[in-house]
Amino acid sequence: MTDRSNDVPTDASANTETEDPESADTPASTVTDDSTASMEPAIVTHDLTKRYGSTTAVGGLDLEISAGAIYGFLGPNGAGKTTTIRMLTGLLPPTGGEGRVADAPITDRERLVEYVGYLPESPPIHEELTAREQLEYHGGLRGMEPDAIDARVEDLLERFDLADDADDRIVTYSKGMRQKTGLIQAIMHDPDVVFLDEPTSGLDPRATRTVRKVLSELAADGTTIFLSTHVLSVVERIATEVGILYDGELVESGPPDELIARLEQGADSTLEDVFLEVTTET
Amino acid sequence: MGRATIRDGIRIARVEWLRHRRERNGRWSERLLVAALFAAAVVLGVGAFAAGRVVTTTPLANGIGLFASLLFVALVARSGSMTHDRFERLNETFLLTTVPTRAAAVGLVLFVGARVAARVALPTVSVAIGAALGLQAPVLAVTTMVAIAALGSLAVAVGVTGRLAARLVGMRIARARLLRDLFLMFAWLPLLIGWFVIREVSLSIVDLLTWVDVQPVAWFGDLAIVGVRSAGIGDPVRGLAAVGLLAAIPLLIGATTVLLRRIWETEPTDSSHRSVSRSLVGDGPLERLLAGRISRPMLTVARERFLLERRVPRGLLSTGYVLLFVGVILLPAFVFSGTAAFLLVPIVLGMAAGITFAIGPLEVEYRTLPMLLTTVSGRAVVGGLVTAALVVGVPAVTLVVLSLGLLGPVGAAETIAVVLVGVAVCACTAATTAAIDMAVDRDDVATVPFFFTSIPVYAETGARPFLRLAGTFAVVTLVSIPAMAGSTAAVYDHPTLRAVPTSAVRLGSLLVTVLLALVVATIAFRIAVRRYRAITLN
Repeated sequence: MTDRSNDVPTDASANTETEDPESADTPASTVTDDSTASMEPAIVTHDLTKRYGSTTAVGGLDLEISAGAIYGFLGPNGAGKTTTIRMLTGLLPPTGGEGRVADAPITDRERLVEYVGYLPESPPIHEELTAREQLEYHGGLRGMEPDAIDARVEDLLERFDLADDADDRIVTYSKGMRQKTGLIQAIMHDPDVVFLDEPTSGLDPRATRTVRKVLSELAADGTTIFLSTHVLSVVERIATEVGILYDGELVESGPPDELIARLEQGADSTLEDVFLEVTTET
Repeated sequence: MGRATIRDGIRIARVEWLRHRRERNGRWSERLLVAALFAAAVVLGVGAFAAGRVVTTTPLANGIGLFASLLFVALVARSGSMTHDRFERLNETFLLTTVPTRAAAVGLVLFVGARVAARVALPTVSVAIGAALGLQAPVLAVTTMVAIAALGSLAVAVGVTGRLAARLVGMRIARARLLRDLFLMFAWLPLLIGWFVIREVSLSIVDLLTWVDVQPVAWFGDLAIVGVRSAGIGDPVRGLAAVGLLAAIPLLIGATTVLLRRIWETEPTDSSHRSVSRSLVGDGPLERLLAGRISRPMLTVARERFLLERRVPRGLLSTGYVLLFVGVILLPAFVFSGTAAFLLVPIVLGMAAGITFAIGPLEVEYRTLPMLLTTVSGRAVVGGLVTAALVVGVPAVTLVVLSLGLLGPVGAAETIAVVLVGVAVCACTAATTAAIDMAVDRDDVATVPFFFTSIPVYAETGARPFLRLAGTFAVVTLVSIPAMAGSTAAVYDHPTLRAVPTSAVRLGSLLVTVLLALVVATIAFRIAVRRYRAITLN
């Protein structure tokens, strides 16, 4: 799976089963485009640190992620991924260092909200509402016009196979349906930067494929995707860059192909091998 | 019931006890409760001692039966309430896949029993020893403790079973849930009617006590004094019969198991949740009224608040506290000071609307807080809450006050000023409530069972929500003082104000309150926005 050009037709052919073949999943061709690589960084951090008492959750994190990139943020449980995302979204003040997201300092949440979309591990949705109401609520909070909300919500509900259930209350939803609702909510306003914490958690293979496709399309349109996940196959397929966090520190970063190439384990190496290599105590 | 079931039940109860203690750990209200229990134990012990001294000369048998009955009712109610509270926090998936449902039922009953025991143990020992000393009958200490333990065990079993049965009925029939919650909200009404009926039919207290004394629950009173026949009180046969009532406990635990199975396994979802969506951004009266005048995010917050209130009317329930505050504090103050009662109307309406739509914003948005904080500014959120309150408060105040103004002797100018007072109080209440409630620590918020819904509702636990509400009431009352003073005869007829027309004094005082309320609302608004901006998710 090291040659990502092989993945594109695989995904594209798969997409023809359920989705518009014209909008086939072509992440590699879009996200590795030189035009995006030359753009201003969408996320920059310098020495970003979060301490809880004597425990360092994230220590001295330096990131520079280009606009339009899909950044796979990996790390074992407790490595500090969620803490990092919370700092980058302004939900958690850092104890040291600095950072900017789409030109807004991460300590200024009122400015950050204009640029970001966020899906935490647990989808932030009201169980008393229906999915359509929840998404309209979010669109309204974003200041989107009613017509634009309707069109965008309908489109995404259809794509995520949620349209038939959109008028049922979320309390009746399965975990995957809640996850889809949360994901639609995070991306429906076409933000500059999307932070996704385990977006494919609880999703079936078809929905996972849709997620990959939608994220690739967003990236192609210039949206930066910050993707934290344990599903390495998703990262391997669509990420343009990968960062591996271990014990609060960034121990490896770079394009997936490069990371895999650095390994001297033969041609069949995968991102999983890289992950295990750099996150194993020696 | 096998040994393994009991063993698993004990384990479940111990873990729930541990969880409960950690949830409550370090709260000053808990320490206060312990102190209150000590105080109650001392008072009850002294009372029991005094009763023991006079028991041979005073016919106390009825009193003991009544005491046993009241204690039983109180413990049943407390057990039901504890069951209601703990049931929401049980990890049903874990339990269902780990132990038989019967063990979970035993665990729940044991947990509630342990909590009830923790509350009554000290007073029980104190009463038992006090009565034994007073009557100079050492055996009475033992029989009293045995009787209260037996009565408590039965009460816990009845309380747990009754609460789960009520829950099942609520799950099965949405209308029944509504009726149940309405009953719980307005249970005082039938009690009041019952009291009047008793008065009307001239039922004497003696008749009532005699009736209570023949009920089976009163037999536990006889059990308590079964060892002091020499005092000439109690009936040992009824005392022993009370022990026989304990046979109902295994049956009730069996019923609890059946109910748990039905609640967890047979009725996992509530069909009443299926519904149509209501638009939060599309055309509607609010959209036509306010679109373009206030920002879209602010309008959306207000509309979302209306929709959530429609689904789970937690804000509406809070107006009960407004009525309580008005009934206990404001109304007597108005009566004693001779303030025009007309002024009470806009203040009550303004406060009620303000609290309904601004109370507990972080609790209402607990689940969606990560989205909210990364989506919308504090100004829009707080503005939306105040807008929601005003959209309801302004027409309510205007309609009611204008109607009363037309009927009463108050002039047009004063009527309009009173309307303005109501509107300003509404805005002030909403902004103040939002400012105070934005300080809620997210770690203090937990799921609690709630009226009108089977969906767990997030709320701050303990006494703090009431203190916050008291803070709002205090601020709004202070703001209203000029208007109240100006509408009091002792003020506008005061010799020093003789040169000023009465209407001018009244009007001026109303406008001072309006001004004051708007100033406080503005300050509170800013505080609320600042607090929203300072919220972090650790």
